[in-house]
Amino acid sequence: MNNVLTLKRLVCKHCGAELSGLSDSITFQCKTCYRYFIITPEGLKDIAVYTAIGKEQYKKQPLMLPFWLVEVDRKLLRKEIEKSLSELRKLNSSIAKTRLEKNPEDENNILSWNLHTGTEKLHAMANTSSHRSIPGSREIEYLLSTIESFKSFFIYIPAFISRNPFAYLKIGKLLTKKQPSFEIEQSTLPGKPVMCVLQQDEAVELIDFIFFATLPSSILKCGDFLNPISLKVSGSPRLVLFPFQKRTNSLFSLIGEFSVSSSLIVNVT
Amino acid sequence: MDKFIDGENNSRNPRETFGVTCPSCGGSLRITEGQRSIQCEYCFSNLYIANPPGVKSFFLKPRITAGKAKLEALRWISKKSNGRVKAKYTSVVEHKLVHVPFWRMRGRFIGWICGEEVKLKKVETNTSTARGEIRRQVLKQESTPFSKFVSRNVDWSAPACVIKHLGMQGISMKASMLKWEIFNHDFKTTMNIALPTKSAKTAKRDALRHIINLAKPSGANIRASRFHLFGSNLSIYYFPIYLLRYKFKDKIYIITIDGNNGNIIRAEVPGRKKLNPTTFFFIPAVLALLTETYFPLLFITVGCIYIMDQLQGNRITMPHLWLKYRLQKWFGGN
Repeated sequence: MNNVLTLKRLVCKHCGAELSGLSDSITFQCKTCYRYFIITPEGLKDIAVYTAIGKEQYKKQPLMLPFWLVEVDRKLLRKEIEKSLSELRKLNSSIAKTRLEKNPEDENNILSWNLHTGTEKLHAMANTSSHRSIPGSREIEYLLSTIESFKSFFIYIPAFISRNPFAYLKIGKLLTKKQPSFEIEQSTLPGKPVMCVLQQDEAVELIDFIFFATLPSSILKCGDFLNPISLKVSGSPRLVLFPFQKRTNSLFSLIGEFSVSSSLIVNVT
Repeated sequence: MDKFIDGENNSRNPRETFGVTCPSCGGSLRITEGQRSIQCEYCFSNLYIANPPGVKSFFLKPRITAGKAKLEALRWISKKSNGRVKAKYTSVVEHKLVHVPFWRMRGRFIGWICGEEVKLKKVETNTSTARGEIRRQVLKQESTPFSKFVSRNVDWSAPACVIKHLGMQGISMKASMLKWEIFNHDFKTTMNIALPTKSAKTAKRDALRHIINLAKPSGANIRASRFHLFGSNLSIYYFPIYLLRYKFKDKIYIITIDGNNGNIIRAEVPGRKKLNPTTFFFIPAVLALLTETYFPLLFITVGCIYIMDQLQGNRITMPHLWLKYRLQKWFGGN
């Protein structure tokens, strides 16, 4: 039952030199060969850390914040969305049929729906409590086509420390929604500690929440539609450092081009 | 260089510390909760905290002795009973130190809830009757669809075993300010430890249920929800508690004392016997009636009651002791 906390030496597996890092983070860099390591439940493991490079050169040294980049399987996402939609439609039609059998007086109302447009029909259905609300098919098609228009669709999961868990949703949502274009290169520069506190497995568990946060409120309110949907990861997640610029009370993402309150990442002094 | 504030320096968010040993020099070190690496202050070697998955156990050494706990308890009883129950009238039957296990779940919680907020609204309706149109106010149920994200830091704790008269619901507040030691299972032979009866699975389920209940808006129909706890760890904390049993007037009372600071957690104090107004009215009235009619009748009645009590008790009590007992029974008091 007891799994005792023990201390182990922070030594590079390749050259035997000491590793350095920040006290709260789980990633460390070797002082001599500049390789990165991460603490996992199994012990210390090698990890490749990448740096995102924007189009412009930065005048000031930016603050590099780590994110897990998780690529989503778009084909499976489309399938899941279509499946959820068709199942809900079936369910709604069966509910309408049973109601019709119970209360034939409603027949006129239900038949009159055929004369209305899709949205009117949806509103009418949503007003009845037993009906499950379904997002508009055009809205869903637009969402899917937007996701498919990118070369690959990534979910950005903040891996830095924050006392406010809302930061994970907010910053992850802003970058995921934007899907910025940038280049990445493996980071091997000396003296660059990575402030990563989130394990890869934990990051993968958060992708659904960050994806949901990017959705418009009209879709988010259709709980029965979203409930069965879960994103599938394609490829292994990457730990990427994104440049942020410190401003008076905010942090500006040089790649995402948005600002967030620095209080969300309060630990940066 | 940008640097993270260390937990120990942040006075607004105190974090508990645990004692560990350096693998290189054997030096005694203290690590702060959430810290992942440390430099040994004796041999300066960089070390990381291997945190294997599963439940970790910690314990706290008692800071007060059994004698001090007993003294504190007696002082408290005397104070609470307005000096009625003093040390000379009470005898401590048993006092022991027990390390009581508490489950504690810490982490970050993220969730998404979707449903309908149900509100009752007063609506005026016009109904036509033979007398004309009547306005009526009808309560109508209005439901508005909603969707919200929840994110918060979680610190939940609950007792891991059932102890009567414990008086503690959790240790979250206390735990963050104390210096804990890593629990070794060999301690079970040397220390008085209450074994956890609630499994880790049940504790996890209870914690999650508690957090979800806090996150869910009241008066809403939940259609769909998704919750996740990340960066979480479930641990067992053995907290020292003194259990003291004392005897007062043939009755046993229990007091639980915090083994860390000597505060009384829960205590039973002998209650003062409530005075019955009927007894106070009827007994003097009967006595007065007997005295008025024929004075020796009072002594005859008292004598009869005395003989009846002796017969019922199957033993002979001295008349003055019997009278004291009877008066106490009728009028209460010490």
